[in-house]
Amino acid sequence: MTISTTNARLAAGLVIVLVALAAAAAPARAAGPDPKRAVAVFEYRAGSAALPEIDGRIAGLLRKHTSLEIIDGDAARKTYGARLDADIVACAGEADCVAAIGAKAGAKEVLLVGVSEFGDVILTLQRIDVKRKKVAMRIAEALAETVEPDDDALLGYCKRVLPESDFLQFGTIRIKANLAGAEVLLGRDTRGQTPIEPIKVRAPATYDIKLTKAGYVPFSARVAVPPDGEVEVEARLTREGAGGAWYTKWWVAAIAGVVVAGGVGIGVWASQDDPTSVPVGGTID
Amino acid sequence: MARRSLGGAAGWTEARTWAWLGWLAVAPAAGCGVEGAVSLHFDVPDEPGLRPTGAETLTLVAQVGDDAPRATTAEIDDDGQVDLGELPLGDELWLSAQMRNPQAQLVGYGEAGGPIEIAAGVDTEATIPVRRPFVYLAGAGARLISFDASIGRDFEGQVAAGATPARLADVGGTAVAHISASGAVAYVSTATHQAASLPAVQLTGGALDAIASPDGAFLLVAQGGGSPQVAVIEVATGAVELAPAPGAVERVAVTRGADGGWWGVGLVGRAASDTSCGGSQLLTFPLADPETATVIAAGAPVSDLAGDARSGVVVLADRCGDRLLRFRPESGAVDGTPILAGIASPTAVAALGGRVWAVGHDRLETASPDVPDGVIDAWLVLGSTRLDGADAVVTPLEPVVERVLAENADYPDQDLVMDLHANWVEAQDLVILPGGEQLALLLSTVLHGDALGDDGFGGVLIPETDVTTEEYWVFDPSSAVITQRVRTTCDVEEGPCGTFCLVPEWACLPDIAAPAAGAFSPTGIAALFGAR
Repeated sequence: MTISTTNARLAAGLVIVLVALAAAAAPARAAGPDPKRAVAVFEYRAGSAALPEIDGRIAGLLRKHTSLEIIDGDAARKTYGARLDADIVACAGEADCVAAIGAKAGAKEVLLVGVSEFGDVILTLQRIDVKRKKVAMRIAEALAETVEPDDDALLGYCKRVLPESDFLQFGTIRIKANLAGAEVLLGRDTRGQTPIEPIKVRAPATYDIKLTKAGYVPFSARVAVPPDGEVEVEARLTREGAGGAWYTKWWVAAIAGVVVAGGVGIGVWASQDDPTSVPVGGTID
Repeated sequence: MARRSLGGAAGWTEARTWAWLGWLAVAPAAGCGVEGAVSLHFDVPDEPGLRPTGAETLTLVAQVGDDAPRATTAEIDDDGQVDLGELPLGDELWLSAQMRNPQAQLVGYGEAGGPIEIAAGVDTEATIPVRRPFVYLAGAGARLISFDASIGRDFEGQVAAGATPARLADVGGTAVAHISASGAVAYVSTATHQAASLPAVQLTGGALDAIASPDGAFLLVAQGGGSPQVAVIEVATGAVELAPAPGAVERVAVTRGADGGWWGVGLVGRAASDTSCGGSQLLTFPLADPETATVIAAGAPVSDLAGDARSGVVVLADRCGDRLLRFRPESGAVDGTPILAGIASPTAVAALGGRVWAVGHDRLETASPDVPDGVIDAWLVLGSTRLDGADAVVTPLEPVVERVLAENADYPDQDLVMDLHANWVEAQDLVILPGGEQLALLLSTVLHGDALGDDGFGGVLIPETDVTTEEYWVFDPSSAVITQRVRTTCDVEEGPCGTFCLVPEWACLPDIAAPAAGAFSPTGIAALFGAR
């Protein structure tokens, strides 16, 4: 790809702006709830047999799509005891009562999944702050009796009741190159030159990596980054026209050099999907 | 209402790029992390007596098209700020707000005046007026009374209306229109309970019914006598246009057409009794051009009608057919397939959010000589269904029994009372309170007690007793529990009594609340953000 001088300058300017804003926004994000906090998912039913195993499904989705430590009903019974379900029923949805159960189960928050029927099936999700003993957010959905919400729908409900930051999962791409001064592109974004610090990215996602340096054959690779995972890319750039053994070609290096390692990845929000919603706040006056 | 920070004629990519750059420019100052935001201003009255009090949470309900509404509830902080999570992007998002106290009672309700557009990268601002869940009653004696439906009868207010209001209509939640028997139209602000700064109108002829379009832009007044018509008043300007009718228009409803315009439907030849089973007529007209009104045979004796604001459906109460029918004013077609059947003699109907409620009445008759008037009990019947006929339910309520007290048997430790079982009970009007959680009802009853005993000289010991009452109820349709009950009138007439009559005079037992402003006959009812 050829980049004109003007576009290259614009791109460089954007990098500076993005970096500056990432730094500026970081403290605000850090003030949000711990994305790895323990959240208990409890179920509360009021005379309805609809949506069986709904708490288990929600717990599974949250494990898959967040970094939260999810305590489902089975796990909570091990610490709280067999009276868990009866005690939740006895709470009748009262936040302070549910919070007390959540505290004994070792949770910072409780996601109380309520199922009742009033013509339609009413599914409610309440996010209860265990320490404050108050409902931080609550939603209610009316569902036709015959409708079983799919995973996308359930995840959508969860995203409305839990902070957006809980659903921002990250991974790390660690790039090692055999020479310094190669420009690193992640997708279309220039991320710096080698040697380069580990890059924190949204996960799960697939990224195209490209390293270029004048006089060398560009190195390209496509990596899939799992949530909380670390992908190591070992890039070997060879001189143009140098020939050499087959094992020195870039694509061999790309295949051989990508290593997925377990680990922790928390960092800057480096990319963003097209939004489907916007935050809303209000003032009563 | 919406403020677009960026946009214009740029192509999609360019527009998004500039929107993104625009966001980058403001993000550090705002301390936010995503594109665009919605700022809602929940406008509540300054007047303490009118301001929602005790609210702990605010629920924002958002609905796009026919999708199921999404409700998000959050705590209100000490500064009146509330974080309501996320709203989906959309061209036409309808918003409403509910404020609830710690006991989950609805203490405030509001709706945006129209749909708002939410787009990525755009800061949108909207104002939602929020009011206490007031129901207003109008009647003789220049009475315009407000009841707070959430807190029992702790708040009953007398509103200064000027002229004697006969009919009422909620005008977008921010004003209440009152129309006198002589056709004088004026408005009261729901933020102050003082006269609103909207142009008053003097119509030719009196008013039989009134309703406003859900956006509050138009007020429709049904008229009869020498002016059989529906007057369509543009609320902001006071401009009046007329839809001529072939006879007195006794009820009027409004609904939304497929093109987004409002349509009015007037009822001519109302079925005023259970034996008035001739066919009614429907007067239909677009509010944008009332003079083009057309008249359609309803094909049934209709006692009441109600428009669903969004679906374009008007529901008809077939009084003699014991059923509810659908009518689409745009097509002029009455659907002969009932959406609800088996509701005895429906006389009041209301629709909101794709669901309709109706109230009819029934009674148990007998030929037994022990019951000279032939009626053992009378009761109301509550029916409900979705507009497509799904989830239809008909529930008879408890028979109405009125207790009367012997006036001349006033012992300190003993009362003489009679329980009179109603001979007749009929719903006069029905409104759905905001959110559809409660219904408000005006009803009338007729009760009769037969003479009892023989004084040995051809007379009786206890005279026959005729009682008529009018009441206002607020009740939960899911449980049929009455949460407010006010007996606005109760009249007792005794028949002749013998020489040795024991208790010649009877009075209504003051066990049911009476209006603080004194007895009166309600002629109009309206609920803020409600539906009829």
